[in-house]
Amino acid sequence: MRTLRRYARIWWRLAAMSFSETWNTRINSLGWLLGKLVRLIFFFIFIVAIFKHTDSIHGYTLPEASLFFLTFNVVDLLAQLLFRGIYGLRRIVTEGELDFYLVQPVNVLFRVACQTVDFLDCVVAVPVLALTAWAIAQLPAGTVTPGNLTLYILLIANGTLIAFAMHVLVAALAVYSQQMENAIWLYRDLMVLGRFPVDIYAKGMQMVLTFLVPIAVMTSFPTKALIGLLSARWIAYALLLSTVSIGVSLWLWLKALAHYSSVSS
Amino acid sequence: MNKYAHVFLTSLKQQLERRASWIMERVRSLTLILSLYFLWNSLLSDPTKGFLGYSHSQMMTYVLGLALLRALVITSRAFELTWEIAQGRLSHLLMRPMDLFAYQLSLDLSDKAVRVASAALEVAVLAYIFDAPLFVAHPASALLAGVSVTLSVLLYFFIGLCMASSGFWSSESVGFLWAAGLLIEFASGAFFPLDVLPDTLAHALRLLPFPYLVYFPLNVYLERFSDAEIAQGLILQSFWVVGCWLAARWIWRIGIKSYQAEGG
Repeated sequence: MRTLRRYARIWWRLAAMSFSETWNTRINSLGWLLGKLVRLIFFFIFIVAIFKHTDSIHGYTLPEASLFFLTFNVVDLLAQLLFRGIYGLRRIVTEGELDFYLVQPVNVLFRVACQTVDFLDCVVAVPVLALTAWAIAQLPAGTVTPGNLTLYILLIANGTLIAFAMHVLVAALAVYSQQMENAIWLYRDLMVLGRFPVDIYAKGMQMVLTFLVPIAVMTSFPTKALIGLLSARWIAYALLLSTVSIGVSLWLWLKALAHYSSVSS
Repeated sequence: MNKYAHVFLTSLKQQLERRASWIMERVRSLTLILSLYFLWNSLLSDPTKGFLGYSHSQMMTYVLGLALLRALVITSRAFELTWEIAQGRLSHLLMRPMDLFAYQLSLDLSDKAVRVASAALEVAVLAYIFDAPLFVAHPASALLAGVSVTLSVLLYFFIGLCMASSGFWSSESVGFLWAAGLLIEFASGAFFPLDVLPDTLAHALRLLPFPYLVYFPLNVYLERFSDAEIAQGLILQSFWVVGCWLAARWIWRIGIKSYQAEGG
C-alpha cells in the first residue's frame, strides 16, 4: 500500500510538471486541443449523418455504431493519458537521459511511461464520455444489463492493457535498437482501423485485426460485449491475449534493459 | 538546368533517402483509405442501390481517388516555413537569389511526386486485391477533372503559404496549423463526400475554397455535375486560386517587414 501511495505521488508530480509545460505554451496547446476536438466532432457528425440515409452499418444501429467509434476513442485516450511518455523514449535513450532514470529508486518503465501526461486528452475525454453515456442510453431497453456494462468496462480496461503491452514492446525495441522512433506511430496509424466495427472489413483483415495486431480486441470487443454479441469464448481470448502480451512485452523490456549499455559520454 | 529544377531534384533525392518517414506516411494513408473503403463498401453492399446519388462504382472510385488526391493536393511543405520563421532560419532563404514562392513550389512538387507515385501503386494494388468496381469517366470529364486538380494543387499551395505566415506573428502557431489542417481536410471532402453532411453544414462549406481541393475535382471526374455546374465551379475555383495567391503575397510582404530573425 505504501508503494502504491509513493507511485501515486510520483505520478502526480510528473503530471504537475506536464501540466506546467502545457500551460506555459497554452496558445499552442489550445491549437492542439482544437484539432483533437475537430477530429472527434467531424467524425461523429459523419457517423450520425450517415444514418440520415441508412438504417444500419453492417447491421449496427446508430447508437451501436457510435459506441464503436466512441469506445475506440476511450481506449485511445486512456493509452495517451497513461503511456504518452513512451513516445519520447527514443530521445531519452539517444541523449543518454535514460541513465538518470536507471539510478532513480523507481521502476524505469513507470518513470518513462509517465514522463508526459497529455492533459489535453483529459479535456477531450469530457465530450467523449458524455457522448458514450448518450449512446448507451439510446440502446434498446433491456440491452444494457449490469453484467454487460461490467464486461464493457472490463474489456475497455483489457484493451488499455493490450495498448500498454504494445507501448512496452515499442519501448523495448527503442532501448534495444536505439532507433524505431517510428514504431509507436505505426501503432497509432493502425489504431485508426478501430474507428468502425471490425465486421465491415474483409475476412482476412478481420483475422489480422483480431489475432496479429489486435485492434479489434481493444476497440470492437467492449462494444460487442455491451450489446450482447460477444461470446464467453471471445471474452476469454481477450483476457488471455492481454495477459500473454503483457507478459511477453515485459520480458522483452527486461531483456532490452539488460542489453542497454548507455550512450551518453 | 533551371535552378528550380535543381531544387526539385535535390529535394526528390532527399525524399527517397527518408525511407522510414515514407513508410509511416504510406501506412497512415493506407489505413485511412482501407477503413473508408470498407465502410462505404458495407453501406453499398447491394450494388444495385446507390447512396446519396453515388453508385457503388462511383463511391469506391471516390474513396480510391481520395488516396491519390490526398497525396497530390493535400500535402504542402509550406508549413515547414512556420518553423523556419520561428527559428530565424528564413534569413538563409531570403538571401538566396530566387523567388521564395517558386522555391517552395519546387519543394512541394518533389514531395508530391514521391507521394503520388506511391499512392498510385497502392490504389492499383488495392483495386486489384479487392476487385474494386471503378468508375471510368468519359475522356472529356477526365480532362476537366485534370484541369480542376491542377487548380487544386495551386489553391492548397497558396492556402498553405497564408497559414505558414502565422509564424511571423507567433511562435506558438503549430497547434493551430494542425487544427486548421484537419478542418481543411474535412471541409475539402478528403475524408468523405460533403453530400453526407447535413444540408446547412454542406452548403456553408461550399461557400469556402476548401471543397474545390478534393470534393469538386472528384465529382467532376465522377460526372455528377452538369456542364453549367462544372463551368461555374471552375470559374469559382480559379477565383479562389487568384484570391489566395494575392492574399499570400500580401500577407508575406507584411510578414517579412515584421520578421526579426530570432535566433538566426
